Order: sequence, then structure tokens, then C-alpha cells
Amino acid sequence: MKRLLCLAIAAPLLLAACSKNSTDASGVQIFKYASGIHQEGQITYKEHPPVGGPHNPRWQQCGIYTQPLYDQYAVHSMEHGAVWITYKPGTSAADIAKLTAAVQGRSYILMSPYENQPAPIMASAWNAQLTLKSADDPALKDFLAKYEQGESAPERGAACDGPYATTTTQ
Amino acid sequence: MKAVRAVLAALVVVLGLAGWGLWISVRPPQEGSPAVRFARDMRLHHAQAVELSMHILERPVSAPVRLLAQDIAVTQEAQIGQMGGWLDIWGLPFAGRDAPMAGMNRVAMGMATEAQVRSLDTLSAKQAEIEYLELMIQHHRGGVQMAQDGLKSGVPQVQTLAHAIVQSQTAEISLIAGMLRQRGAAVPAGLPSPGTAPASSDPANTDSMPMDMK
Repeated sequence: MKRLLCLAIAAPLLLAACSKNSTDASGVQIFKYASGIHQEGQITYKEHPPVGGPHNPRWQQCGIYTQPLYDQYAVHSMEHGAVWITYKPGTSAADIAKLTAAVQGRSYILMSPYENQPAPIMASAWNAQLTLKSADDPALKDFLAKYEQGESAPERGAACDGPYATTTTQ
Repeated sequence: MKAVRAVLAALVVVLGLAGWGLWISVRPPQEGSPAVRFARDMRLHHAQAVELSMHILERPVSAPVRLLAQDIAVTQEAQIGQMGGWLDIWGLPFAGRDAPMAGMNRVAMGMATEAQVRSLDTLSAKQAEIEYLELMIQHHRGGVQMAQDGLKSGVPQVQTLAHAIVQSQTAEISLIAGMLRQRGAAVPAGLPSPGTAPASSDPANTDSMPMDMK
């Protein structure tokens, strides 16, 4: 009986341990979301910004935005391979310009302010997230090289534009 | 004895050269090589042809334009996958450290601006169809130019695809020109030279769009 009880307690813990994220050598946090289901309406995510999970049937049109986005559209773009660069509101124009320059000409990019995030500047992709040390942190380029349409995206290379991509902002 | 040594030395040189040649020929294309640049640049260029086609397919345009748009979309999407497959097998990321088409003048390579892409949603169906044909003819002209670079990559599978792109897009350029004439529209004169448009007017997905999307 005791053993069964132990198992009952251990199993969920073990499961939790398995889905827990880790951090790789370059400081990128790794997650394990399986490709997400489609779900209408507002979706609440565990991570801010999110790094995977259920998402809206529409995806966010890739590009640079000056207003916050809705998580549930952005996550769908991330499933297609987009990297979402987010900064806290109040970030200096100079820093935003540096970030804009860093993504110039790249196509699977979302960039927007993000209120409720734990660090000033972050880069997120499906199952991967990086906290930037500054707006010109060289780690961003490595992150983009690896995760823009990267292997971790369940539907890498599917468009993040097109007539049904939403351009909605908050 | 001296002769044996000379023969042995020659053998070492020949084997060394052969081994080096073999290594060069089987080694996958490296980061920064023309083949890798071609794969990444052309994936971006193709993606916009698919995007333009997806937009026009949502409009009530004529059957020949729908057929053309579907043909372009399915063909180029398949080729995007093919080029992604190469990068995978070569052990390289799709994106890379530099933006695709870095240093190229995108307008001179036939890329449409974000506003031109959006205009396909808002123009009347009749005008949108002409706009699509005009944008596609320029896009193909740039695509053929970029494919010429692929022909010089020295990598057989890249050269095969580049050759196919040159052939099919050249044929489609004549087809589209005919369609434009049928509709009483002028065929665009040609692409601007790379020197005429500043890099800042590059129609990346990422630069011009944000301000009107607040």
C-alpha cells in the first residue's frame, strides 16, 4: 500500500521533472512542448512570453510591431519557425533601434513590447528562450541563426505571412 | 634504391592529392559557400512568390490567373522544402547568422514591397490581377538572375534546381507578358539596376510594415 502511495506521488513528480525545462551551454532555456492544438479565444501560457502550446488557428503576420501582440497568435507563428523578440515597455528608442537593426532583412521574426516578462529583453522560439544581457548582446545572432525556422519548430518553414495571417495588436 | 624512393614519394603525393580531391568532392557545402547562400536566398525569394500567390488566390480573379497562381505556389513551396532539405543534410540551419539576401538590393531582385503585397487585398479584383502579374514578372526576372548564381555553385543538386528555375521562370515570364498584353496592360520594362534603389527601401517583411500596423 505504502509502495503504491509512493508510486502515486512519484509518478506525477517524475512527469513534471521530464517536462521541466533545462538550460543549454549558451544560456538558452529549453522546453518540451509538443506541437500545439488549435484553440479559439484567449489562452493563458505558463511562460511569458510563451514558448509553445495550444494556439489560435490564425498566426501572427511576421514583422516588427510597436504595440503588444496576443500570445495565442504569436505562438502559432513560432510553431512555423518565427523568433519573437520582446522588450519591456519603456525600453529606450536606442535599444529598440539596435534590436531592429539586428533583425533587418530576416523574415521569420516577430518583435514587439511585452509587459509581463521577467527580463528587459528576451528572444523566444518554439521550445527555446533566451534572456538578452543588452540590446546588442551577440548571443541574439546565434539564437536567430539556430532558431529562426529552427529544428525545434514543429512546422518549420510554414509561412508566417499570407492573407489570413493576423496583424492584430493589443 | 633511389628509384624506389622516388616512386614511393610520387605515390604519396598522388594518393594525397586523390584523397584531398575525394574529400573536397564529398564534403558538404560549407557555411558562406555559394551553394549555401543560394539555398537561403532562394528560399526567401520563393517564399514571397508563394505569399503573393496566396493573396491573389483569395480574390475573385479570372481562371487563368488562378491557375498560374496555384502553379507558382505549389511549385515554389515544394522547392522551398527541397532547399531546406539540403541545408538539413549539410548540417546547417535554415536561417544562418546573416539575413538572407544580405547585401543584395531586393527591389533589383524583383522583390515586392510589403505595401505592394497588401495592395493585392485592396485593389479591385481586375486591378489586383494585373498588379499580381506585374509583380510576378519582376519577381521571376529577379529569380532567374539569382538562379544564374546557383548554376555556378559547383554543387550538382543545386545546379539542377537552378537550371530548372531558370527554364520554368523564363517560360513563365513570356506567359505572364502575354497575359498582361491580353488585359491591355503594359509589360514592366525590367528590373531597376542594383544601384538605383537604396538598401533601406528593401522590401523585407520586417522593415516597412510595422508603422501601419499599430
